[in-house]
Amino acid sequence: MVNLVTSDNESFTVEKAVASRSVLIKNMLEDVGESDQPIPLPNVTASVLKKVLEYCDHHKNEPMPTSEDLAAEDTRKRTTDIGEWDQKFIQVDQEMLFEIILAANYLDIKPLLDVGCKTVANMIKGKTPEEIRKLFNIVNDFTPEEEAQIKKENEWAEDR
Amino acid sequence: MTQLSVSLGNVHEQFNRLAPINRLPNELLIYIFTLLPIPSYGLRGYRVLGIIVISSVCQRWRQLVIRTGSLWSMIDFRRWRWQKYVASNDGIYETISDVDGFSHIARMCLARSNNSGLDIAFDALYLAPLELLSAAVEVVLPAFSRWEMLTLDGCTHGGLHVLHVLSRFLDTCFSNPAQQLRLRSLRLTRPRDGVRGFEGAILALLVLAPSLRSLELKGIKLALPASVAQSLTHLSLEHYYGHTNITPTDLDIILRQCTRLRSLKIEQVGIRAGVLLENAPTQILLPDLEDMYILQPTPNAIQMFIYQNVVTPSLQNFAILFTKTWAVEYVAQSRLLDAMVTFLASTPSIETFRYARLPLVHLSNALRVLPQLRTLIFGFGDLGWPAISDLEMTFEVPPPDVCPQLSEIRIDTTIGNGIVRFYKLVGLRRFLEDRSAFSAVTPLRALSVRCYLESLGQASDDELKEWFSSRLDLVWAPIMSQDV
Repeated sequence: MVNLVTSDNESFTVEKAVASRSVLIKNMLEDVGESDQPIPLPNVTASVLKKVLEYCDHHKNEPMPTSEDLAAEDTRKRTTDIGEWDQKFIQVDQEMLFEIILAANYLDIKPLLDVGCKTVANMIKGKTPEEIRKLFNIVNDFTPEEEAQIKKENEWAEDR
Repeated sequence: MTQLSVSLGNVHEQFNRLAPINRLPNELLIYIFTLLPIPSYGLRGYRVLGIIVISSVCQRWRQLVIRTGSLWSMIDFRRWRWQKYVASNDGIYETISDVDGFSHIARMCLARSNNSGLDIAFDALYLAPLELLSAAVEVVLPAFSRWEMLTLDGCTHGGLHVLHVLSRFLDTCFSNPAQQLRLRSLRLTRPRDGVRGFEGAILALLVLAPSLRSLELKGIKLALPASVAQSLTHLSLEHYYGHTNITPTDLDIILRQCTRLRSLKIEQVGIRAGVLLENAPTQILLPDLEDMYILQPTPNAIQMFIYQNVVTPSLQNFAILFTKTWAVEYVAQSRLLDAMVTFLASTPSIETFRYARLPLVHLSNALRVLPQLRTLIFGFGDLGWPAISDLEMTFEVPPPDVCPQLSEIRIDTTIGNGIVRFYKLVGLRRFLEDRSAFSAVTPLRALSVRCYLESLGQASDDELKEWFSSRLDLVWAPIMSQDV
C-alpha cells in the first residue's frame, strides 16, 4: 500500500497498482524502494485526489501507455471520442474539470489528461467566439482597435 | 478615449485570468486546441471549426494561438469553391469564388506558421481555372523549403493542373539550390486524363527530397531511385481508374529496395495480364515492417506473392479487406486465404488484426493461428468501394474460443446496413457470454463501436449499450441514420 498526503494535509492509503497509474508516483516509488514514508503531493487537494484515485482504481488493470505509443500518436488521427465510463466520470463542474486536468498533468497520468482535454475540446467544438466566452466565463478583452483588426482578418472567412 | 479602452481591456484581461479554464498553463491550452477538428469543409471549415475562432476569443488565447506556428501549418486548398453563381439584388447573376478568401487565409497561415513545416494539399484541381490555380500556387511557393507534406490530386481531368503545381515547385527548387527541402510526405494521384512529363516531374521531385519518408502513389507506377527507396518508411500503392496494374516482378523490385519500410499499403492494385510469377528467387526480408494493409478487390497474384515471399518479423498490425467474390473465383480465393493464414501463422509478432468482408471460415482460420492477438478491428472507417454493398460491410462475429489474450474489439466503419449491424452487436453480446465459459481466455477489456447503426428504439439501444458498458470499457459512438 502507498500513503499519499495532499496539499490540505489529508492522507490517502491506496494500492500500489492504483497509485502507480501516476508516472510521477511510480518513479518516486522506484527511486525510494520499499518505504512506509508518505508521499507528499503539494499541488493536489484532497477533493481532487479523491477523483483522480477513482479514475486510477477503475483503470488499474489496463496496460500503461508506452513511450512508443505516445511518440506514435498521429495528430491528424486524434479523435475526441471518450469511453462511456470516462464520460460519466468527467461529468463535473468546470472548477473540478480543470483541477483534474492540472492534477493529471502534475501527476503525469496521460490517459486522464487526455480525457480532460478531449472533454474541453468537445465543449469548444462548433461554437462561436461569443458562445465560447459565455461557456467559460471569459469576457471580451479586446480593445475596439483589436476588435476591428480581428474582423478585418476574418472577413474573408465569412460565409458569402 | 483610447486610454480608457486600453484600461478597460486590462481590467477584462485581469478578470479573464480568474476563469477556471485560464488556470491551465499555455502548453495544456495549446494541447486542447490541437484536439479541435482540422478544417475539412473549405472556407466554412476554417470559419466554424478552425483556430480562427479560437484566436477571436480573448487576448490570452489569441496570443497563444498566433505564437504557436504548428497550429497554422496546414494549408488546405481542397474543396475550393472556384466559381459560384449568385443572384444579385437586381436579378442579374454574378460569379464569386473562394480564391480571394483562400489566398487570404493561406497568407495568414504562412505568416503565423513561423518556421513550422507545412502541410499543403491541392485536391480536385480539375475544377480550377488554370489562372486562379496559378495565383494560389504563387501564394505558397515562397515557403517552398518548408513544405513537409504535399498532397496533389488532379482527379479526372486535372493533368495540366497537377503538372503546373509540380513544375512551379521544381522551378523554385532549381532556382534556390542552397535551400534544403524538408519534404517528408508525398501523396500523388495520377490525373485520369494523363499528361506528358508527369512521371518525369515526380522523379525529379523525388531526387530533390532527401528527407522523404512517406510515399503514397495512386495510379502511378514508378521506378524509384535507389536512394529514395532506401529511405522510405511508408509506402502505399493504390489503383486509380485502371492504372497501377503492376506485376509481382515489379513488386519484387520495389520491396527489395525499400528495406526500411515500417508500413506498407497495397490497395486495389491489379496485375498486368499474363504475368503470374508468384515465387521470388529468394525471400524478401522487411525487418522493420510493423503495419501491412492488403486491400484488394479480387484474389490475384500480388497478394499471393506477398504471402509466399515476404518475411516480416516485426509485423504488429495486419489488415485485410476483400470485396465481392464470384463463384468462379472461389477456388482461387480459398487458396489465397489459406496462404494468408500460413503467412499469419509464421508471424507471431502480430498483435492487431483488422478485417472486413472476410468469409467467416477464413476469419476463424486466421484467428486460430494468432493466439497472441490483443486487438481485433472490424472495418476501415470511411473506406468503402462502389463494389462493396452495405451488407458486405457487416460485422462478422468470430468464434468465441479464439485468441485467448484478446483484450479489445473495435468496430469502425461508416459504411453498411445499420439494422443488420445492430443485430450483429447482439451477436457480439452472445460472443462475450459464450467466451466467459472458456476458462483459458482473458476477459475482454474494451469495446469501441463507431459505425452506422439504425436505432431499434431507445429502450433496446440503451439496454444493449448498458450491457456492454457494465462489463467493459465502452466507447459508444454510433452514427445514426440522420447523421448519414
